[in-house]
Amino acid sequence: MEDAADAVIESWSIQLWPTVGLVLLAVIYFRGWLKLRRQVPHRFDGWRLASFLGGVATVFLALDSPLDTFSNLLLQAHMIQHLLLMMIAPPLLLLGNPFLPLLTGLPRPFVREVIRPFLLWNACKRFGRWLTNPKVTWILFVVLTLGWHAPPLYELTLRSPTWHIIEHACFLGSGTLFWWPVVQPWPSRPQWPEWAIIPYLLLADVQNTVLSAFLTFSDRVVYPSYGLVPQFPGMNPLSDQHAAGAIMWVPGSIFYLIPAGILAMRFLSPRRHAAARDELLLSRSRVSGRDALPLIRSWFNTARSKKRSEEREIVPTGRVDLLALGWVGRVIRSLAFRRVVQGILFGLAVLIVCDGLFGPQIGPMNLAGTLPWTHWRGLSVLALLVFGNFFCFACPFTFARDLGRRILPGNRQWPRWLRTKWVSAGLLAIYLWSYEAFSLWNSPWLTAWVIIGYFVAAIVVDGFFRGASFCKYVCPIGQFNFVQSLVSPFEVKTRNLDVCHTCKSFDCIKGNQQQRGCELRLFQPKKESNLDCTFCLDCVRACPHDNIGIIAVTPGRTLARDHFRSSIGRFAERTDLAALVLVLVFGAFLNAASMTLPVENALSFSRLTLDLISRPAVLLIFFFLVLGLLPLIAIAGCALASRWLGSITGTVRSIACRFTMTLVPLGAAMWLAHFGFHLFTALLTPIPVVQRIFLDLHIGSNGSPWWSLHTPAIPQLLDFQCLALDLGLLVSLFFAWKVCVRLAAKRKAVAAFLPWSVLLSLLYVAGIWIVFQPMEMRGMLH
Amino acid sequence: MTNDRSTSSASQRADFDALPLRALPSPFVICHLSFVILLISFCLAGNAFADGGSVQLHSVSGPFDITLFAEPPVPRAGQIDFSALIQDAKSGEPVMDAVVTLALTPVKVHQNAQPAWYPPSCAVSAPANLAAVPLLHSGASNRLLYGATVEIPSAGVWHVRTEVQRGGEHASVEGSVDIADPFPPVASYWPLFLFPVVAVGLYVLRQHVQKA
Repeated sequence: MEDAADAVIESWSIQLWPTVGLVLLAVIYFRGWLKLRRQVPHRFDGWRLASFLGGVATVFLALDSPLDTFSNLLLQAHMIQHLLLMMIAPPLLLLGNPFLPLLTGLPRPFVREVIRPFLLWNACKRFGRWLTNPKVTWILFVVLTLGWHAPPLYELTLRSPTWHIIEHACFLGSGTLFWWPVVQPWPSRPQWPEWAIIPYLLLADVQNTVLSAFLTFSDRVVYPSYGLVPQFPGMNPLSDQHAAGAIMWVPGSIFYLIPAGILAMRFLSPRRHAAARDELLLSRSRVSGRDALPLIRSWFNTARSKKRSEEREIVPTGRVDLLALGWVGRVIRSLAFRRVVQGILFGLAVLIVCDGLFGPQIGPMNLAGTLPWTHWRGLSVLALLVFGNFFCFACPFTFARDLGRRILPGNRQWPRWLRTKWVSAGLLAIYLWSYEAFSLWNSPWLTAWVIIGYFVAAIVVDGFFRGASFCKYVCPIGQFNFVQSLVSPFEVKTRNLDVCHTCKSFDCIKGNQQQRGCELRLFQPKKESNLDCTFCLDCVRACPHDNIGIIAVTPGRTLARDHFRSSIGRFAERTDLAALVLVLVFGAFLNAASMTLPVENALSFSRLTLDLISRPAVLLIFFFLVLGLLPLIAIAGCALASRWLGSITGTVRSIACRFTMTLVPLGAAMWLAHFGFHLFTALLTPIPVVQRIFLDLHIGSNGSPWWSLHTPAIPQLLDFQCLALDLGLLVSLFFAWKVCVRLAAKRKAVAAFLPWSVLLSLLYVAGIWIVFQPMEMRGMLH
Repeated sequence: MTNDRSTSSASQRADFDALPLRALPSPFVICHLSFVILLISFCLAGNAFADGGSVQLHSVSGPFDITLFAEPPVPRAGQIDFSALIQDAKSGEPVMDAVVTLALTPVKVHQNAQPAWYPPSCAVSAPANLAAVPLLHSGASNRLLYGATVEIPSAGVWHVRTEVQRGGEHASVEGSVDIADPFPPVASYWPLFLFPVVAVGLYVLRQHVQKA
């Protein structure tokens, strides 16, 4: 029986989404609590934090502990779970005064843009007052408690997981409402006098007593499902029901009676008169939460001043600056760290090339078939969306570029007519086509030669031409990173523009004796977004005022603006940049679709029908249509329609260029969904490959590599893919709308927005369709 | 009990004196509520039954009392979580050291039935041999049970046999289980498709509110 007892204790059913949500909730509260504690310590002392976190922990206990696991076998476990959700978690959460900490803990732009308008909406105010009226909260609580305990509904929740979730949400929600007038969390105002809460609680206890007495004294099993499940020793369905009734009755009643008793004692206490006077004073001036006002006002004012400062492009204080984070900042800034990371990646590149040329020519058994196509691509995109352009920071080709500069003259200017993105856009299109046409992912030999070719190109271009011509005009990987980093949360930018205005040396772009300036000709005061920034941090090291940081920004915030940008110009005038973005956005969908079985079958069918000899030829036609013709028609059509509907002045070309940039977030989401899928389904594939290399080199013990090692399947991966596409769509729609508001005539923004919203929605639907298709498991042994 | 009331009156007076005489905007009430309720309700949205579910077979065989559960409670083609509770037939104590195997064979597969659908990432896992699926404690959230997730390819009537072995003792229970047609994938993911629609709706409402 000891085994069984251990098994019961170990029977946790930790669910991903509720746990993530609860942790997020706790983190947001804690963040806000830390800030508020500095301003009003007496309102946010330690026990408030403990109470809120205790409430979160109680919800976690109710949902993920053995209580939940056993809730469909034992009614008493189910009853305890309900008590936790209705009677313990809500008051604990409310005692933490959660409103201001949660509001302060959320990102300011989100609160400012999303929540603030609702906070100030009269209908919302009225609804809030109605919902927190004790009459309403009491009725809701009683009706929901009795309703869900009625046998038909209770049975429904046992049969249907969805209804079970709804039931739990109702209990937690109605519990929170019920305890609201009792706890009256600051800064809310009481709607009833304090004494009225005593009958409020006692009457609720009456319904609890009636319900629990019915369960306790009933001589039949009220919920038949519990009569069908196997019984544990010394227990039968009826005794289980009686125990559940007793749990509901005794501890349940205690939870009503204790607060009622406290309130009664306070009401009868002589000190109440002094408190009542204060209460009266406060209620006359309606200031039950009065000391929240300056906090809130200052918070909104800060939000407004932040907005103004952002418009002036001055980095507001208080933003996270990675370079100002103590030793972390020092490490990131140091050239030695960059060299070490580059050295590691260079070593890996050499290893991949060697294995690609001399190792087995089966993709999943070779480093050249796994690391570059599965892991590097996935991690790069993740890094771009979580941090910034980390790959360019750690680029191994920099070694080759520096080598080229030493052995070759490197004194020519990059031809003026090539100073565009056309070359890199073309190279990217060729890469996407050749990846499919020659199955690069499954050809270690070709992969090795692609890497060698890359090194040679870097040496030749930077060996003959000045600056970082290779990075800026040629490197397709760099262009991919530049474009996706438009939605990165960090940016290399000036900390204070005023300092730049007084600067006479311009070392950030010109360089000095110790440090070269920006090779990509990005002048920091005029730089906006991460476009063309390799995160090399040369400007950071060159700046004599230490005025450049890696600063947190709102991702994609510059997509809707079209200021003049250093070394970039204006989006509306950059057709080449728009073409690059289109290749990347439509390429994201095309690249992912090519690995789905329906597309693969369609290509095979076309090959047979058209009687074309080679697969590359079929793919060439396919890519020309999807990567060339389709985007051209779609963007031109949308631009024309938008111009006509929104009475936008300007050429179709400039309108198309402006709006094309707003497709970037959706494209990035598709890349993330695609590469993330490969990364997480084939995470462990390098392990047997490395074992094989060690065996080939006669290093280590004998034995065969674990070729049968499978990465555990993650069923939630599809949820994440859909969520990424959801967010990509929303961000793209938002920026497209912002562009419409700026460009379209008054009252015509909605009409101008229509074509772009249709295009974005179609791309989103295509993305969803792709991620739901059976995928070819590339880079994996089947 | 309440925090306002528990704060000392002196402190309240100090707060009061220090502040301008303006009322606190009451929309904070609704925000307070919406945060606490909606966020936590959202958290609850992912919670589902663990294993267990509905009883499919129950019988006393030899020295064991065997109960087979299936989750979801109405089994559908696709992934089904089968779990078994093995109890001593005399004492009712859970048996923790048995070897439990599940065998599934199709009896009558529905014609024109919709094939089961799995998330693409799960296609990586090798499909289990339905003729002998080992049920393990580690395969169930409820560690008293022996469980495994099984992929049933198509709807119809399936014959199910659960074999239990402990030392020299052996028992089995068998019967048939109706497997319903699978839900279309959209049915499982609709909240994620609804999310952009709701977000856009809220944004439109926000614009309206801001104008108002």
